[in-house]
Amino acid sequence: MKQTQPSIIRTAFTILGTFLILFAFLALIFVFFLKSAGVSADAKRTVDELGRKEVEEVLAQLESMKELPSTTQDTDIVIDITIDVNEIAEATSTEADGTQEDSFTQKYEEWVKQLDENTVKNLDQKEQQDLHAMFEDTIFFGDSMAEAVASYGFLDSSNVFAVRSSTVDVLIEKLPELAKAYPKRVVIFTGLNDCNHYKEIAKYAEDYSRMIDEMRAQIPGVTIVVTSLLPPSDEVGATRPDLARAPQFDQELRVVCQRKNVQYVDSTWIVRQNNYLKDGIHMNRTFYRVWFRYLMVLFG
Amino acid sequence: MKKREIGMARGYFFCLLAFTGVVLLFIMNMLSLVWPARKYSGAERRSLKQKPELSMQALLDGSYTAQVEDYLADQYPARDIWVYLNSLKDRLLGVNYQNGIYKAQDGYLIQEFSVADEKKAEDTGYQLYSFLSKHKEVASYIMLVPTASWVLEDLLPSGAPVADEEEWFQNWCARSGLLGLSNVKIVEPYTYLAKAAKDQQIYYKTDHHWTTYGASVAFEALAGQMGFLFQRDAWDVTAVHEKFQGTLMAGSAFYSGTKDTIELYLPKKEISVLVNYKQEQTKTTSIYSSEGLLGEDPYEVFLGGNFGHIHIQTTSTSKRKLLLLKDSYANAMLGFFLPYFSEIDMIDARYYSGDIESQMAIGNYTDICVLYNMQTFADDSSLSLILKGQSSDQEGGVQ
Repeated sequence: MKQTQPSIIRTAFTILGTFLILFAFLALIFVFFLKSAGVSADAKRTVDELGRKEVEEVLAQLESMKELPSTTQDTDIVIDITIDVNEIAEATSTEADGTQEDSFTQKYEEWVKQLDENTVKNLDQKEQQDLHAMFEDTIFFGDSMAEAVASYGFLDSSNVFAVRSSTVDVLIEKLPELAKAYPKRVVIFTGLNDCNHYKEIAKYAEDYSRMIDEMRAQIPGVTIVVTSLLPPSDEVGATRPDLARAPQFDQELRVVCQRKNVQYVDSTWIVRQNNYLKDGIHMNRTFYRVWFRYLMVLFG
Repeated sequence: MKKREIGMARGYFFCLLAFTGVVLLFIMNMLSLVWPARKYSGAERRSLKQKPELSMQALLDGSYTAQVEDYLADQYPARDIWVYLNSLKDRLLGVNYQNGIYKAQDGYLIQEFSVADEKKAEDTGYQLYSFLSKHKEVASYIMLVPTASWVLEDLLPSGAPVADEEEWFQNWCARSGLLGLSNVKIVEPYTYLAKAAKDQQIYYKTDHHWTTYGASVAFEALAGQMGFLFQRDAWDVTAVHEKFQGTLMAGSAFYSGTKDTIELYLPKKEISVLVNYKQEQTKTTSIYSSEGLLGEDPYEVFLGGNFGHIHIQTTSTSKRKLLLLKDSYANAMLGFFLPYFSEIDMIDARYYSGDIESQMAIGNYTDICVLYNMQTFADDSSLSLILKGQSSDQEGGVQ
């Protein structure tokens, strides 16, 4: 017995060893069959080469192809939307301005009336399609306020770049990602997160200016539009002194926009207490319906 | 004496066997505790199970233990090798069918055609009918591409019980009523493909997709219907991957040395494109992706994979605009469309989150093309959803 014992261990090791060698061998075959890279450096270069053109270059190329028809089309659209056909016939150029303003004032008064009476209607199919067409190359950028544009179904998610509960300094970090979409127009819609985040309004203004500068630098030729920072509901405002500062922030925002020569769209007039969601911060669809009708007139 | 020795030797042998077994069991299982967990298996092309979270609820209803079992099986040390060994065993035993995939002649792996639910395609047919009859002014083409299971029928193991794809297709055409619409043409590329298959490879041997050559043959058929001439000599053929092993090899246990070549057909007369991945909010200037080529699935060299909505503008002087409702087969064919259309919107219903009717209103399309392979089309319910105006990706609908 004593003599045979070592041989058991030896045999055990031999078998284990054989097994391991077999295992390693199979592993090698496996690696050879399945992991071998079949892409030569040349092939990769060929494929890379296909996409060597810069997006701006192709955009310019496409633009130049469309130049003639597109300029005439643009003016057509402006006339179509701002002035009724009948009015064109009657009005001289100075009067046209007047009628345009009139029709806007009329619409404005109607919207205010609807808001007060809580009778705002859904966008009809025509409006919905106009909306899509008008904002095809636009991205709504911001926090949950911008996110609602897509989640309420007004526009597609491709028209929205939103980071929930983001503040301006976070949004600055996201600009390179936004730039990849090469939007023609960016509408910035941020909410109360900033009022909570920034202790000092001056710092907020500084960051916001930086965001606008960065955006212009990273997305050449972009049109930036800023829309109001909306206050919280009265109820929430009473208990949250930080959020109650919203009107001051909004005031500062207007100053920033003026200084940076960016279009500011005042949308505070659309806010009604009954259009807040339960949290007293976000707005319901009614707000967005009027907001979009307003934007369509402004950009039409 | 001798007898006794043999008896002892046998005893040792069994001891040893038991000993090796215990060592393997013990060591391998110990190893699996410390073995790093992988998220994805490249060889099998699937995500592997991750460590489940322990909760009282999951423990009580038994789902936790089931999950742990899956997790341990998926994260077993050197799993790829065991899977390979298993396939080796199967091959030695002469198995020729696994997970719906046949090991056919000439090194082809062929996915069998099967229809789980006849209703799905039927419903898609009705939705297509009502959608296309709403847009009578747009010329529409429907091309369902037969899969290898029909075109390469002869290579399947003899007597393989595969559903009749031709019969299914004829039935579908008849039931959908699409033939009755004056603006719709149903393009049948079967005869073209079957003829071409005699000389060249039109399907990958290891993947369920068609080769770019196969796509060019079908495009020839489509181009005839769309009213332009496809000239084969206007294209340069470049091989970009010579050791492609596709999803069929990964999805079955038929690992072998068979490799495919991925080719690109590039137009001799250069054309610039702007590719806008709408939902991903990215723009590029090529429909080919080197990241896709080097990634886990090299077929993704075409567009980098499947995306819900891709908008493509080209420098073509054509006035035609195309809406392409498609699956992954269309990715290999897209290149051929570029010279003939100034704008193409490619919509993959499975990932699309927009509203198709408003897209129609914006797009001003002159042509619509529905391009699927029959297998995907037969199993798909997302196309009928988006045609109905419900998005398959998220809860859509207008406020």
